[in-house]
Formats: sequence, C-alpha cells, structure tokens
Amino acid sequence: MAVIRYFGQIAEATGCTKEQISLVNSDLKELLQTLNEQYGLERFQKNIAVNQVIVNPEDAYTIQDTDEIVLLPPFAGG
Amino acid sequence: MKKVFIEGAITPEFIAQSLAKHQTKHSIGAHNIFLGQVRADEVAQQKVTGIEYTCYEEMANPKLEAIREETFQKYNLTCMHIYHSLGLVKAGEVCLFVFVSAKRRKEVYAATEYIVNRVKEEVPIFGKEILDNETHQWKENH
Repeated sequence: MAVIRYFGQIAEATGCTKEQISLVNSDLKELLQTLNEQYGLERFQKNIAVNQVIVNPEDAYTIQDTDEIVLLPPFAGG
Repeated sequence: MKKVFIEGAITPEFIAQSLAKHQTKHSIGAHNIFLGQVRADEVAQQKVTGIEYTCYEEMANPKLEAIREETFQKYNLTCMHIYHSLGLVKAGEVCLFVFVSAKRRKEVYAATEYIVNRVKEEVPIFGKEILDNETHQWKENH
C-alpha cells in the first residue's frame, strides 16, 4: 500500500494527514488529478515529494507499493 | 544527525547557553547569530498573535543535513547550529536561531545569510498564522 500524506492548508482541505491507497501500477499524474478533483486541491500552490524527494508532477512515474507521496504547500520556515 | 527542531519558542536562556558552550573553543574569533522572531502582522484588520509550525520531518532532516554539509564546504567555519521551532510560537518570540562561528569575522556574515535563505526556501516547514479573532491564514515565504 502506498501512503499519501498532506501538510498545512492541503491537509486542512483533505481533512486528514495520511491515507493508504492501493495504487500499484497507477501513474502519479493520474493520482494527483484524482486527488485534485476529490478534494478541490487545484487552488493550492504545491510541491510533490516522492520518498522525500521533490519531483516534477508532469513526469511519467509509476507508483510503487512502498512509495510515500506527499503534497507540500508553500514552505514557511523562519 | 544534529537536532534542529525544538517544541515551542526558542528561549533567550537557550540562546545564552548555546553561546556559553562555545567559550571553551579557543580557535573561534567570531560568532554571528540570526534570530527570527514572530511578527504581529496585520491581516485584513486582524493581528497575528502567533504561528503554529509543523514540518515534514522525514524530508526536513536530510535537507537540513545537506545544507549543513554544503555550508561547511563553502565557508571556512569552526561550527554551526540551526534550531527551528515546531508548535506554537507567540508574536515576539523566537522561532529560528542560526549560530555560526569561525576563526575570523568575514566568513560568518556570508554563511549566516546563506543558511537562513536555504532554510526558508528549501526546508518543508509550514506556518499557520493564528489571528486575534481566532481564525487563521497560512504563511508563505517569498
């Protein structure tokens, strides 16, 4: 089961910080599209991290069973 | 790995103790300190009373470690420390403490700015600005 995590204003919109979804062989771009529609996330500026590394969501990527996919809102440290 | 995240505000006592710990290191000739303090910004006639910080620690810690290593490669420093708050920090309290030491002063100014900029831009930390009418908005670094 791949894990999807949300932070900040994105977690507020989804109403949860973590979800486990059976996504084997799904495409990352399709997943993000589904989440955008499900939770209305299109309005948020965000970065996508797969296994702690920021990725380009436009790149083709097949989700692996052990992946952690994280939707990160704009950074606000300091 | 060096511990960066501290629950709640970074206190003046903690900062003083950090400084005291360096007094036995006699090769140091210059320290530089950056302290980020929570500002009571006004937003649509509401005032920010504090910021509640969260972070994606599994990504933040390796990123901070990389910033640390790259800063040591770029500048000739004796030591450096980065501390950032998690949880609620009230207006007027300190949420970021960067402390850089070197033999001479020139290196410490540049290194401090380099570290602060990278922490703000690259580390996945999020800030919920609590307003005095009990609503909130989300902070964004620009």
